[in-house]
Amino acid sequence: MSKVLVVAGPKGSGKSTLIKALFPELPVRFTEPPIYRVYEAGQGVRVVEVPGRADTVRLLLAAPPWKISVGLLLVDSSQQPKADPGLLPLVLAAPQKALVLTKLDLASPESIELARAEAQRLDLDFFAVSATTGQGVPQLLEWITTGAKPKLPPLREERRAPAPPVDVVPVPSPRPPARATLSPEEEAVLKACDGRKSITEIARELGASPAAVKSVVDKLFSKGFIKELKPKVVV
Amino acid sequence: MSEVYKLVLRLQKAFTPTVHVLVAKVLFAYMVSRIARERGDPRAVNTELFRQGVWGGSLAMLNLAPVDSLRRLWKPDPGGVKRFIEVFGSAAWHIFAGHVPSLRTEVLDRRGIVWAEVEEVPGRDAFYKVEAPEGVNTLFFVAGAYEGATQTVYRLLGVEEQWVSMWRPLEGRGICGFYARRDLDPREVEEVVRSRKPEFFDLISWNDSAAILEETLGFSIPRLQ
Repeated sequence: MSKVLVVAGPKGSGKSTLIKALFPELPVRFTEPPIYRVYEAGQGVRVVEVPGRADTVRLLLAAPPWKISVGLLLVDSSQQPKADPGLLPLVLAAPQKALVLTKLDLASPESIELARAEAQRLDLDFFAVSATTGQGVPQLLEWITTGAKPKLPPLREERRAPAPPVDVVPVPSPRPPARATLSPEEEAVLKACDGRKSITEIARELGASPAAVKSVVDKLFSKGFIKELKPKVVV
Repeated sequence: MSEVYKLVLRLQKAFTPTVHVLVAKVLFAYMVSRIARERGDPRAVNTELFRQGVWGGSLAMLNLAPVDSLRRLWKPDPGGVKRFIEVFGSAAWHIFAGHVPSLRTEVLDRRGIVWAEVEEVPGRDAFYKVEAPEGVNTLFFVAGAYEGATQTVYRLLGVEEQWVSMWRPLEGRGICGFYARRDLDPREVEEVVRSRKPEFFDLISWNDSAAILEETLGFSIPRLQ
């Protein structure tokens, strides 16, 4: 056995999701492990999923079944980006260790910076990943495999345009004005408005930012082509 | 004139769908809690509340504003703008807070800078009156909503390249803001506003407002160099 990778984090921090994103071939179970859960990945890598339970950490520290090679401590970007102090000793026992901010697609710039500062304070390498978009996953996998120091990306600049706080569906007017001129952008957005797609979804379809689409929707609204905007939950 | 529109607003409110303030307060409190947990620092929470308000105000303006009335009332001289704020500033507050506020306007510069202060009526309940963590001011949401709504009005009127408006909380009792012509030097407008209210740009600067308006609503506001 060449490598033991421990993925530790509190409930809901995205341990199973991250393991699946790193090793898609594994039969990952998306439930909290009772004590801990072991997966045998290829190329001699054993993956251990450890929940945020004090008794599990005590057990693994007192009688370690294996020598931990790589320790990942997960923090959820939708919560306070603080390392769980109960899990920290387990991760610190590994020669190669990192703090991993999960759910990067939902992260605010402030939470990314706070997590990065937390990693620095604890002398851990730092990664920010999104299993949904795949951002940061290849870099983390490379670091696990080779141990090469991560190149810290300029996260603020890399972030995509922020999604609207509450997404809305522009509903086309059933009786659009007969005489009105539309710019090519207005025509494209109006064509994409089907009464079901939200501004974010239209933006994604047209390869534009949500703000740019919102700007065009406002103009269509003032010209009478959009009847109303319906709030929609988009995940 | 003001009595007539107050009566119209009351009638409109009586015949439109309404909801108990508690429902709005619970939903708003949930939003503030979530932002406070995510951001932690009260200044970051206030900024995010402002950003949420910008977006919400724009949506509200699109869904609720009678575009024809906006066009009829809009007169792009300082006196006309003053009257415009008096009508629509009050209407917006009445729709969302449930009462007609006290509203003061003042022409700060005849070339086109108009100041407004919208104050709540003491004792009246409203959705934003929730217990928030220390340092968090829920009126940033309201100020953001007015800023987003006003900018959206400019867009509906086709004058978004000619006017700019920014709003901020007013010492826990309302909000204040300005309408200014874009052909004036932004630095000069900022100084006039600062002379009226020195702390206006303390948390959210002119350029912060410009950035938020650009990233949420796609407005391109001149930046301070």
